[in-house]
Amino acid sequence: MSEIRILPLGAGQDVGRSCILITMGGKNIMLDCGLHMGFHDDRRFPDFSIICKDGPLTPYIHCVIISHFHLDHCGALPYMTEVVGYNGPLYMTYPTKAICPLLLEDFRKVTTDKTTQQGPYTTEDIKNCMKKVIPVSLGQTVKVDTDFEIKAYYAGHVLGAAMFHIRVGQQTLVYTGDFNTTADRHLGSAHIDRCRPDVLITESTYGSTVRDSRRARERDFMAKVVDCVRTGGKVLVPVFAVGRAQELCILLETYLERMNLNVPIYFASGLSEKVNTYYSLFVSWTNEKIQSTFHQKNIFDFKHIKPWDRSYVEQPGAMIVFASPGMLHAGYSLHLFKKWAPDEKNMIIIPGYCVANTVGSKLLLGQRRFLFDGKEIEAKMQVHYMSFSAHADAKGITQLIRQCQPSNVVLVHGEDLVMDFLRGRVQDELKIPCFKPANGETIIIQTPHGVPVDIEPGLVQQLKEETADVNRSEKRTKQMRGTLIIKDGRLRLVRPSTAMNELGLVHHAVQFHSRFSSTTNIRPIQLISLIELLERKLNSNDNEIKHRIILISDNLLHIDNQQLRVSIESNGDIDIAWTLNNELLGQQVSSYIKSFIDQYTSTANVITISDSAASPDPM
Amino acid sequence: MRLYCLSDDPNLPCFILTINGRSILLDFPLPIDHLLDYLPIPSPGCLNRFSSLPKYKLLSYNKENNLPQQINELRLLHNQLYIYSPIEFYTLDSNQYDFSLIDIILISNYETFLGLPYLFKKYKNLHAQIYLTEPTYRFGQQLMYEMVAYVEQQSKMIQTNNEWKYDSNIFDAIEEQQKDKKLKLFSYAQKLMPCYSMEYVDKCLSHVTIVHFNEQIDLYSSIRASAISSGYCLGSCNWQLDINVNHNQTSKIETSSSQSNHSSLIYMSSSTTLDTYSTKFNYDSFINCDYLLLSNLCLSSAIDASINANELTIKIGNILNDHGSVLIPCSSTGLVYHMFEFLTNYFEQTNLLNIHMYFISPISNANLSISNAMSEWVTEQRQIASFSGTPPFKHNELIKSKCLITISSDRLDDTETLINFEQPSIIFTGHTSLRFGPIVQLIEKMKTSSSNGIIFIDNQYSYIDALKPYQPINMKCFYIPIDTRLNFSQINILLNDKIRPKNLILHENYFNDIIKNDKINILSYRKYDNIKLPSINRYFINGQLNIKSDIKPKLISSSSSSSSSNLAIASIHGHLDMCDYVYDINEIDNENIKQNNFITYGKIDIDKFLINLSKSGLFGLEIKYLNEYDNEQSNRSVEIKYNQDAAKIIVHSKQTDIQCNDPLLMNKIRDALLMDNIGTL
Repeated sequence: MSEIRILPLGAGQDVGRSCILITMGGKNIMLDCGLHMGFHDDRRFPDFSIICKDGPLTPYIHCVIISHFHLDHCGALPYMTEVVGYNGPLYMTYPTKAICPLLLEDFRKVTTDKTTQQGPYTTEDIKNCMKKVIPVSLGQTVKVDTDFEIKAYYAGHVLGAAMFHIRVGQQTLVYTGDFNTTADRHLGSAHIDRCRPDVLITESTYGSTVRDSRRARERDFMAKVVDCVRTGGKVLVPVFAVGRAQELCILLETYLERMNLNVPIYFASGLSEKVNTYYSLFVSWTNEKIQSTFHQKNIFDFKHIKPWDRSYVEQPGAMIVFASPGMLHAGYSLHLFKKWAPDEKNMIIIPGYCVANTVGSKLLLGQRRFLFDGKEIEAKMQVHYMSFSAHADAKGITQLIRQCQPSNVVLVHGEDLVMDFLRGRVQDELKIPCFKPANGETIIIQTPHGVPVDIEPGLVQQLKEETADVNRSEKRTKQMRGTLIIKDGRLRLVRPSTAMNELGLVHHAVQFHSRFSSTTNIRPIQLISLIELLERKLNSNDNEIKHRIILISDNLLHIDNQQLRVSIESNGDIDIAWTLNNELLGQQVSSYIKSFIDQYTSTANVITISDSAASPDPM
Repeated sequence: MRLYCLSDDPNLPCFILTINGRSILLDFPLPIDHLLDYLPIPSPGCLNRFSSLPKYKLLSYNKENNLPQQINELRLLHNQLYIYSPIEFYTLDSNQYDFSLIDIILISNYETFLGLPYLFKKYKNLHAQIYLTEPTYRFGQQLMYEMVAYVEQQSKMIQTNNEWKYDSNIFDAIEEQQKDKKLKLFSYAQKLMPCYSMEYVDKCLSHVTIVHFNEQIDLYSSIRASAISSGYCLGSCNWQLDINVNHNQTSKIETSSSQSNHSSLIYMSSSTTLDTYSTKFNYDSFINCDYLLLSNLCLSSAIDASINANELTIKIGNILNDHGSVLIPCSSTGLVYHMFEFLTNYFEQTNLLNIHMYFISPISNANLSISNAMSEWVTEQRQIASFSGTPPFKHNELIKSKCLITISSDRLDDTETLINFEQPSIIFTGHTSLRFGPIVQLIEKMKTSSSNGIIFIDNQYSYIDALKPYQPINMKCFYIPIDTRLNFSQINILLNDKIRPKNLILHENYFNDIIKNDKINILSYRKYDNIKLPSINRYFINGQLNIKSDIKPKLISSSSSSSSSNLAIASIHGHLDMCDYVYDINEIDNENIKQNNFITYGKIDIDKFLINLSKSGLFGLEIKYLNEYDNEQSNRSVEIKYNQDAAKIIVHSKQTDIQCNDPLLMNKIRDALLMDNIGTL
């Protein structure tokens, strides 16, 4: 029995630091290699020492797959490949490969100590790491190795986000990464085939909530923003530089054009404006509408949104600022928060998920007093949380599970309680076994697959002929006899005769005979009468297998395709011959025929006597 | 499997492939070989000098024969008959086949895509799914728009009626009058149809399914298709069809042996081994394929694209140095992208400054922005650019630096004359037939000066015939075709040394130029041939084994067989069921049915057998060696009798017969025979 092992190094009953190790068909695959935003020490990286105490990981990992460019999915990658050491294949989609290094570089800058130059990894590490990446297209079947292939499906979520279908031999697994089942202003919705994988590893960030419609959310967002700027307040929207930022920018652009609102909008991020050009380079990853119009108008060319300048922070009056990062743990957004939090006219709208321990998460939990560099700041500004996260909600996750019809579901990338809720739903409603392994906990899922074998067409043909005229239930009891040849790791199932031929073996037939001589003074036994007997004896019992009795000629009878022959020889002897493996049948038939002959002889004798009594003795 | 061949021109490929009762249309290009029979028509607002040509007069006109006196739609110029009407087209479909029965349409590249709207217009019940790559879709769509736009302009310029086409008496009269044999234009005249409208372009495109390279698409349960990069242009592909695949095993990857359970058919169209701007030609999976359908090779084997490219730059340099302008008729997509960068490089190297390249087409801007969004479909080198946030092509830079100027306006009327073109300039525009599009008035303007030049890089048309209506011309004229498609020497190397298909299907025109090889079975076709493809024996069927108990395989050291590797064999007994196209072999769970099943092979060691018999208590055996021709000890036959005739055993070299009426005794003999003696399986 084959099995798939799953060991989360991160994202097990938790959000952040996604890194799942799977073993299937003898291949070790790492899904994502992210970092945890809530920690600032080594705990932010997955614990690679589980794989190997020290030394490079290349011998232990056969392939690494990155689902999308968010740091909690790829942030630890340069650390893994360059610091720990990994030279094996590394897959991500084209846009991910393009955008990922920008975010890694941004993270490096933010976390590297300015004085000691100590950081998680260097710019050079990022470059070298990205050189190892093999880009993949949607739908393209990538052959990693013999009998080992991966295929990317569209996941929505962010530009270039993909779900991966992995096949090793007979075993299949789907990893969703982060996905969104509803299309938004710039991305399409996740889609997967009905591929019936053995295991589906799905994210469960919003696994317990059902969200309202996108339109309602957008209206709400705009209403709040407009309210705030009308009173001269400043709106801070912490976002990650790529992803929701573009979505909200498109939203603001379209609304502002329509509402004729004259408030400056800024975009503050450590990344250059280049980010937006990536969107036009990979237009095929955006939604239908943008794709069909991009050759007329580039929607990512924002007219109203200007790049941020540090001096603007003291500028009076209303403004709207998108600032990175999204969880307020560092950078522009935190800086602006510190400046603007004390003024109740201002407003902060957190549009996405915040990992535990970040300022954003604390703010959402109701904390209003923060200590920054020994100075206490009280947040009097309005705090709003509006989920624009492009994650599927409970409905979306079940919809995806229904679409792909897995045999098992494994939940990752979600909070423990949320997972419990979702697991109940998957098990009760969808009747699919569901697991939620914790970090460092290995789960083993049995996958009942046969061993692939190449069958000789003749074998199938032979069986078809043998079962041509029998009904379905009998067909099921029909045995196939074949010879398995194992050579060069390949299994072939052939007819025994083919195997013998191929191996140069000569068949030695072993035949058993029972012979009953007929007494000279009785009339020869007719085979027809024997058929009647045998049918009655062999085939009357319902439970047993039916035998096929065929009269070939007046003095020859076959049972079960020559397994047993009954013949009457020229001298009147009855010969019952059967081959090896049919001893039971042979002996049964012999005993039936023997008793028949005995009976026949005795009655014949009686008749003989009466005959002689009736006629006068010529002697 | 059958292949119905619809085209007589291997560079205009169109086939219907029938597999397992499904019909697959391979490409549907739009024939444009007849366009040279038309008179050029300039865009609205320009002087149409051809309109003043006299209408064709029928000399045989009289009141009795009911012929018209003159035909407005036919004009004579330089003693050649031209059609004077908006361009019309004919298509490759034939009435012999009901095209609404087509299930699947596979398209190789945007050049072989342009006829499809006609098919959807003609066959209302056609619901076939069209599979193509994203660039093929986007550029194909643009090229259709362009075509529709050009023809619309033409019909603004001239009004015509089509009556002449339907009177064969007129044809006869004209042929007689022209003292010409058969006029080619009459052979297709009645098949001509007005250009399709946007409505049918949209209808056709609504059937599109976009695929990626190497994406495995299950067309039907047993047919799988993949588009494999052909290197010719953005998104161009060759189609690989895997037939009789096991549906359930999403893809059984090729095992170490070359055997496979499915047969594969490769439809190869426009491929190139040259390094261009698009993803490389990939033929790894074609090796040893069962069928290879070959089409769209280079039009003339004498063309070497790289030599011609050099010559092109020299000619352009000469004309520009002579203060002339260069006119290059070309398609609005494809080679031009490469040209812009190639020429810019050349100008930089040779210090030709301030050269302006004009790209004129209603779809020039759209095509440039589409090409820059196709970063997954370009060469690896260009991909690297897109990974660092720069578009794969340099169009945008060139436009910013005014090196490249696009004129998307599809009309350049006479008021906006060439004076507005900044000199020196190179103008890229279409159509390559020189019969419609902005090129018509550009030739009229430029032909007067001998310092100007026109360079033909497209080899689809005879440039002499194409230019004929414009004569006399003073401008220089060069023919430097750049055709990157595989030529015969390249394809011969590929076929014989690399791909080695079992069956090769090609047009009869290609037959003589292909090097024959007795391992490759060549089938040649002509138009309307319906070829039955030779069937391929299946070596094995995919199945899976579900046996829970231990299989006890026997190791056999192969002394006889040539392969040195060890192999093991085991007997398998079970149910064989087909379920979801996969054969399942399941263990028998019913103990009653499970018998001790084995097969015996080899020879009986008589001495051992006799010892075993006596071990089981059978003494007093009568042994008689039978007289046989073979004297060799091992092949001798033996008769063994026990207890008079209670049991008689005859051992031959290939068979043993045991005759006995006592079941218990018989079992003893059997066990003695099988114990450590004869080989069992």
